[in-house]
Amino acid sequence: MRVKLKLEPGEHTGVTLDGKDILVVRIGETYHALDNKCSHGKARLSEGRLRGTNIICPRHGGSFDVTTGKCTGRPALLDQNTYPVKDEGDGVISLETA
Amino acid sequence: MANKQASPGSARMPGPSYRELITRDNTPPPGALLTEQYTFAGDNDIAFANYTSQDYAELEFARMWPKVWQWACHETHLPETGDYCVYDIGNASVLLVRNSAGAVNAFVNACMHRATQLKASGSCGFVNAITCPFHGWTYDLDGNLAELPHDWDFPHVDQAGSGLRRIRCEIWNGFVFVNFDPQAVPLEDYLEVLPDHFEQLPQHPREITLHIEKHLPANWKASQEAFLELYHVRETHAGGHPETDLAAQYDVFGKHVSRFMHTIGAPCPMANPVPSEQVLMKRLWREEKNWIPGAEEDDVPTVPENETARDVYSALLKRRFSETYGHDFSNVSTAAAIDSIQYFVFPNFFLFPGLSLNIAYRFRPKLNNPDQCLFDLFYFQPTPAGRSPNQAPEPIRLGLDDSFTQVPEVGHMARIFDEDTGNLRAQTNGFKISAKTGATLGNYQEIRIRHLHQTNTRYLSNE
Repeated sequence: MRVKLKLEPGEHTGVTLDGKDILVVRIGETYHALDNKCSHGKARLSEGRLRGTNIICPRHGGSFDVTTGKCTGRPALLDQNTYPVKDEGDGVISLETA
Repeated sequence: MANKQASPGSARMPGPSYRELITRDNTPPPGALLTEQYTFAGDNDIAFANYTSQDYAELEFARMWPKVWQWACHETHLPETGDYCVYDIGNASVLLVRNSAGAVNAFVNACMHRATQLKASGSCGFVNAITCPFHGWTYDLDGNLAELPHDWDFPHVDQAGSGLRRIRCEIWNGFVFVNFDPQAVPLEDYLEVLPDHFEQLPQHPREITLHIEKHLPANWKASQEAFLELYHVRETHAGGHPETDLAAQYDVFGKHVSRFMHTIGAPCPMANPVPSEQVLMKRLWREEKNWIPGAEEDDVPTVPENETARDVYSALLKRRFSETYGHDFSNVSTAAAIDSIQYFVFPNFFLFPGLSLNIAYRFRPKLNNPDQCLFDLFYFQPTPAGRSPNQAPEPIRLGLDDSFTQVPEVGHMARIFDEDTGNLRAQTNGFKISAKTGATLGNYQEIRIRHLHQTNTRYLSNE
């Protein structure tokens, strides 16, 4: 699934693809994609704040490393699913959500 | 032997004083660095029980910690609306959050429902609203109870009166302080000479580049006392060589504030013969050059005739800092640029305002264990002109047996911090095995330790 998206380094946004709510983050030159719904409280991580490579959930403060999906801060305990992202240039990235 | 007839506390290390040395600098020091304030404060031993007794620690938690201004975080921990961080002291936990008006609020970090801790100890983060993870009681950034799920079941709850409990919170110079006592004096009054002195010292915007939280095997007072005096330098850091003694000045300004200052790059007061300025520059370059952006091993500057290593080194540092950060540092005095100037605010806040040595310390009991504490170490740098300060970094946590050398960003100071903290376990053991009942202090060089205990005692006596 391809999506036209242009993020500056350190920016993030939520997109809906195949009915899935996905968080896309650009760290440096690399895009990362993971489930947008927090594994803990189901709030949307795209409304949270990025700190280094950690996204902080705006509801309870759980955090996740966006480069790996690993949970890095309580009260969240479970990791987020991640998705492969390919940067196709010209502001277009493709995501595999299957 | 020393002259026992002189009035106690009046003796000083032979050789030129700190004040005499800095008045020779080519960029003169501000008045704040020329003031001297020392009064002999007794020479009784300090009871070891002050460090080891659980009862004493409990008394501190009951009577001292709830009454004092404590440095909780820096403004750069909370740059935007909704940013929060948690400051913990003993069993107390404070939630600091920036509201939509840009002010910093401090709250007891517990839900008004069934007291669940709202944000984890030691954590920093961001919220739109403060939502308890247990049942979802939700507070706005000013602490008001904004959402009470199933409010039909709580007809007895006065929602307007169920906001988070506020704690006094005031900011000085970017440092956010909290005080649990609603009747406490304003922070500016508590800080005594500090605001006035800092107006005379470098005033550029700063950001935190490094935060280490080190777990130490000693009482919080014993740990910070290793940083309150320079008497230890010769043995702890230099293998007992007398030529490493420092020209130092110790001041006690009031109930809460004390200071030491020592030269960087000047000869040891007792050096005989006095080394040449070029030899001093070589030492300075070997030990201190890492503070100068772009300094190379082989670039030892030449000290022109009739100039001093201190002034030449300071001028280079100020020039490189000006080029690197885009602020004009040319008027900063030699002493303020390069010397080790350390202010202390009771009970546990240390701040070095210099250009090169711009660091802060904080020491807190580890929960309520009198034999352990947490040592927070912060490095600052000027915020480059043209942008806002970076958000403060997350702490790097080091355990009891970890070394500061494990963190490359600590740089050449890592060995010194390891040496400073390396005596603490032995001292803690010694408190319990000593044939004496208390610590003996030097009248001048260890006056700040005596002052710490005297102020602590005043709080414990409810004075």
